[in-house]
Amino acid sequence: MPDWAPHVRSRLASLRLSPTRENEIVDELSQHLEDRWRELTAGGASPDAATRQALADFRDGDLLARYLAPLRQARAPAVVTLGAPAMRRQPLETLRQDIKLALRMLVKDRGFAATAILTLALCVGANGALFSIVQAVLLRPLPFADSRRLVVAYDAFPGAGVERSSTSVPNYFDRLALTDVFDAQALYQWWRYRVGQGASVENVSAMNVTPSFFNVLRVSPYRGRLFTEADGTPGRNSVVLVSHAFAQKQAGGVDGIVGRHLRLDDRTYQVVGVLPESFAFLSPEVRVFVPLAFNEEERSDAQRWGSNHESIGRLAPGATIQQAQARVDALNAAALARAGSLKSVLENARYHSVIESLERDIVRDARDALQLLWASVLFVLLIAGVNITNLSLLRASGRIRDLATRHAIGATRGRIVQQLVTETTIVTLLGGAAGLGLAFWGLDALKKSGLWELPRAHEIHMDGVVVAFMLGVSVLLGVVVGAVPALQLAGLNLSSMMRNEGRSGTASRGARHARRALVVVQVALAFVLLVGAGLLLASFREVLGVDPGFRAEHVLTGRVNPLQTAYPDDAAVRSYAMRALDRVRVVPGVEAAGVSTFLPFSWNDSSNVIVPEGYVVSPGEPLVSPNRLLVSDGYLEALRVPLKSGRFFTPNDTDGAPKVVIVDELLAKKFWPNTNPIGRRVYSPNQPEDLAKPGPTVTWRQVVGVVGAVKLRGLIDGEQARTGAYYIPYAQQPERGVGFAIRTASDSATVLSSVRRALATIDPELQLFDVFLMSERVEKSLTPRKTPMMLALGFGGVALLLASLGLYGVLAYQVGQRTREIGIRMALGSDRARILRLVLREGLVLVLVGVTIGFTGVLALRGVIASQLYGVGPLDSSVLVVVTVVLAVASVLACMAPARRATQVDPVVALTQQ
Amino acid sequence: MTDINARALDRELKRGSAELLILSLLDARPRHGYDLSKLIETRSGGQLKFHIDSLYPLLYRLEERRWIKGVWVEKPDERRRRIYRLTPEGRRVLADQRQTWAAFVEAVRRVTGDDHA
Repeated sequence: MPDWAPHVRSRLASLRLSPTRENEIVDELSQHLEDRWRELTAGGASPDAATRQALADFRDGDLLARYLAPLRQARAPAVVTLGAPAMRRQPLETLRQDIKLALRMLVKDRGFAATAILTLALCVGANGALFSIVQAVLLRPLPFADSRRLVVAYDAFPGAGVERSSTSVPNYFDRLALTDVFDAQALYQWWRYRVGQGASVENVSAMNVTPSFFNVLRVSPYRGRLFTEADGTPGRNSVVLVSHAFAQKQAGGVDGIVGRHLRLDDRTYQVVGVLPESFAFLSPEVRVFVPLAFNEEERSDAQRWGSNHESIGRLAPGATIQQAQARVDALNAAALARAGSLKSVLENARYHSVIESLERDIVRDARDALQLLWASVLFVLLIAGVNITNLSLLRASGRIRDLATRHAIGATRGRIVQQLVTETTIVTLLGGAAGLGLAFWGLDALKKSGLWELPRAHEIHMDGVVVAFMLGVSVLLGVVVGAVPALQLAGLNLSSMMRNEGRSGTASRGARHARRALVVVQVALAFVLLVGAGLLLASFREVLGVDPGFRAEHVLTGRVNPLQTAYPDDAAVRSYAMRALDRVRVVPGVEAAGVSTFLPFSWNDSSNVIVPEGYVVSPGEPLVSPNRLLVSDGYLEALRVPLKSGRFFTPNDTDGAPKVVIVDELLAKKFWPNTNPIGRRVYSPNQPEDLAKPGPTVTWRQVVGVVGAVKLRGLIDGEQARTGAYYIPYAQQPERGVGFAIRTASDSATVLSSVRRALATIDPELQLFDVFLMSERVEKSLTPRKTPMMLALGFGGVALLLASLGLYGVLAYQVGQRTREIGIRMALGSDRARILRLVLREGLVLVLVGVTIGFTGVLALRGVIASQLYGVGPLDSSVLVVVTVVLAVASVLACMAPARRATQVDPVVALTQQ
Repeated sequence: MTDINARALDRELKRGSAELLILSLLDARPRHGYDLSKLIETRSGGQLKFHIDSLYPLLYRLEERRWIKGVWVEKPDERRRRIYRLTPEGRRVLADQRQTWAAFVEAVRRVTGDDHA
């Protein structure tokens, strides 16, 4: 008899068994082989043949080792088997086994896996990109120490149409006394400086700030020092702090720039410090910070009601915004009491100050749109989740027999649920990972598109929180998507279900209802999203249809800033502007040109109180502060602003000529509702007393023309636009900022270089900046509406696609399941048209129910979107109709393929099929 | 039972129902490994066959799970033999699984029937 031990031992070699255990196994298996050998020889086999046959029971060489390897005695965790309670096994090993099995199932079911992964990648990607934005703009604290305590303080004159102004220097100095509620306070002012000299001049964004500014933000310098109180003394403020990025490009670099001198406009400043690379307040574009220094006059009560500085502060520990507000209110009340004749004017304007969290104030304009978009993208994700749940329900019902068999041979319900959840979680995680990539790409694309100039846009990036959010959402989806069908299966009697499935060949009624309900949910969600997107689109169309009051095509605009040294007084500035205009007008291709201190859509706006002669202010009526534009002749013509009556300015409206003014129709209607404004007189009060009775110092101007109203801040101007505008001849009141408006015959780009050359002949140092076609300015002003609208449309489109896919999937499955029934119907004489109608009706009923539910959703949510709309109501009937039609067409298309397949059923085949 | 060698079923049986088979064979009386393999083979008319390299790992697994217990029985002039018996735990599991026995049979019938549909 052969010695079996070496045969067995060689097969155990790889297992690292204990010697005792190995001997036991060798003994036991040898006994088995021996029994077998004896039996074979007893049956007549030769000893050799018996040996060979007995050993043949070991199949592939390492099968024994492989089967033994998972056992504990082989010092490995136990193997997972289906058909046994899972409780005993180590969870990690179970998971590993589940994952292996799941991967195998998914490879087998590539269609499901690919659809689900793609769908999720798209939705998780969109969510990731948008959540990155929401996270950076709305959720993440500002990048300053203890930033929740940072506040802004601004003045408001809502009665005069100014909801948010800035604040004044005396207000700031008064509030410095409120040390119980404020740790620190500062003023700042956006500014631009011309840096450098000669050919290397560049225009940089800057901020003028009180020395306390960096104290409020708790910033430490990267090199050098910050500002001290002494830097805020008039005459001693020739120091400057520069941004890290700016320092890198300057002589000396980040490490050598401190102590060097920098020429800003026409003064020399000493660089005292470099700010950290990470520092950015509101905009990373701000390159230099210059200390604000105020003299006694600027701090005096006389300046109290002018608002030209932004104010920020840091709340004292424990102090609340409400407490700070109360203290500031008390200061304001005292100031109002001292305001004398202005008191009633201010009260009519409902003057007050607002203390608000800096974080909230920064995102004031973006918050609603972002939240709305975030909600839509979550809706899309929800639809995707529902879609995948549905797919997974379909898939599960195809596997009922498989699952029931497993259950029958011992797998607990929990075990089956776990397996299904593992499968779907793998799918959703893969989708999530792909989505992560898409989100990176999408965010990049959005950033390049300018991100509709969001506040804090520079802080937008994908961080750990976003990635965790996306993966968390993926896992959550996986669990839910897997658990729904699993629980549905688990809730039923699996063995009876198996028999049921076997007999009828159709899914259980419960599963069918669940799938149909999910399709209804999808359609309802898609309807809501599409209505939202449709409303935004309709609003956008309305906005595009708004007449700006001028013709923007072929108008070139740009600004220059004549400096104090070269152009010390009004006469010099005026002379520059007039000479420049003369040169520009003769450039070939230029049709008309003019200058203005306030170009439409350029944000260098200005307004001032103006009063018509003999105008009786009714009690409680606030003063109006219409837009004030200082313009040369040719400016209104260049923009093709329509003349309603009277005349435009002419070259004769010089400094020495009679003082004149042009008003727009809004102002004309307000001041002279029933009479002809031409020839009437207006004045700007120089002091409060002038309001009651114009004093001798006021300048009277005679109205010579009425022009159409021009949109100055955007196609949808705010409250201020309704007060109108007035135009004063530039020659009669020149100001330093000069904006050119140049109408060209054709190609503005070639004209631009000629214009630059023409201007350089007068002063090569004065370069045109902020150069845009007027139409570009209009376009840019639309981005904050356009980008969200495009995104919403995109989301709506995805929702529509997903809902259609969901509908298609369910119908296709049902047609497949009902092949036999359809065969019977056809055998009994149903014609194809009737079958087609049958399936279509099935689908369209779901759509109808979905749309109805969606409509109630739209009703419930109409308040949310109203603030984002212009010119259309939240229940705009044409939008509702179009969306319903679009959804209906998509649904019919989705139903068509399964319906056609149903009509092609061959009754003979269907009936003979098991 | 037809075509028991269909690979999918083979795998399933060896994983799940094979455990059940062994438990029920041991329910009657304690047996050694060769005995078990012969019983399965003869009772299935030669259709169901356990190879040595899958039978013993299965037994060891059931043992680790404490559903069965093996003891060495030594007789003079013979190699020692390992005899397996059902533990109380194993008996409970068997009882549990027998409750779904009808379903199991049905399942196997459906699965195998399906292959020939």
